[in-house]
Amino acid sequence: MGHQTHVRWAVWGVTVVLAFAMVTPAAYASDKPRVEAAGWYFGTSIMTNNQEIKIGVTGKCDRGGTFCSGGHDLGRFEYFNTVTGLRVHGKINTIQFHPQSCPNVPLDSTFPAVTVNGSCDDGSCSFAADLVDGGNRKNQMGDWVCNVNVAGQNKSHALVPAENEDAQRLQKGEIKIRDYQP
Amino acid sequence: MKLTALVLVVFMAIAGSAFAADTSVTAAAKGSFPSGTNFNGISISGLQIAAGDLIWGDGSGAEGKLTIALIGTTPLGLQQTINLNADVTGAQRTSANVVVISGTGTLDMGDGTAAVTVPVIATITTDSNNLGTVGLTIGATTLPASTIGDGSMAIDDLTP
Repeated sequence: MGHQTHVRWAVWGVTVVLAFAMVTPAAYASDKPRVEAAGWYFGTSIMTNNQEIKIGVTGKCDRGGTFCSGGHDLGRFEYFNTVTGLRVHGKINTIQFHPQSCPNVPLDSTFPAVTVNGSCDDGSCSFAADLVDGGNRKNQMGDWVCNVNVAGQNKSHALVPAENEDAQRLQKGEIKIRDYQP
Repeated sequence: MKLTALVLVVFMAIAGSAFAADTSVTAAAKGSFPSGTNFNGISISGLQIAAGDLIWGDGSGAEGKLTIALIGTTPLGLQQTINLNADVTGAQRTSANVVVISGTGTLDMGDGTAAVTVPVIATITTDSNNLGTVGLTIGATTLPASTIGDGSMAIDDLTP
């Protein structure tokens, strides 16, 4: 068997392997639990009283189950207090989908929720929150955030006091949890 | 041999696109429009934006949420906030720091008239400070790009 034949077999072998890999629905299957959130609420804690806070979050758990941690593929977060200037953004480090369990959210455990924890890429901030999908806005239940804890800096990289929130309904926007139902 | 090489190249190209990373688009920010910006007869000065969107790396589409508020002033000098809440159904990442997302939104002019459903296209461009610009086309109206002044926006690969 000549060198050229060896090469030909090798090339076809690589091609076949790639073909199998391409039809394997593992890498980017969009049928795993995931969340997308975009909106704002008004804070009521001591630190955030009546301040408008905007959030943007993506999160997904592609590895099976309802809990994922590590890596850079879980999602991203943005948090911005328009009054204090606290703004944090970074990657999601852990994500846990679970039944709604925030005590001050008027939705029962049949509603889906997700707990996300994240940090800035440079480690200068932290972000944790529960996001609760109250379903279609037409039902008037709304979507909620709870157990919010955020620490970080403002635009000028000056430290801003940490902020937290017990439970708040989004005034604008929506939280959508897909392919997870308690 | 040439045929074999050609087959390999084609497969590598297709496989490369299939294995591209998903993209996350997130925003929680506010910005401003150039003076003279108008939308449906309202003078618009400010933009507020929140976004959480996923663009699938295999090219199968995108999903997510986009929330916009346009801060404006009526001809009588009263403040008016126009709200837009959109479901994202498509997106293209045209470069590392630019995405064009599209979907359908509910537009509430904030003047007591009934909300209407409109197509929405948003072009988000980020800079090294996680700020940047947001271009919007709402229905048939294309607004000049809004410059983001505070908060943050991000376009990131979601790699394992």
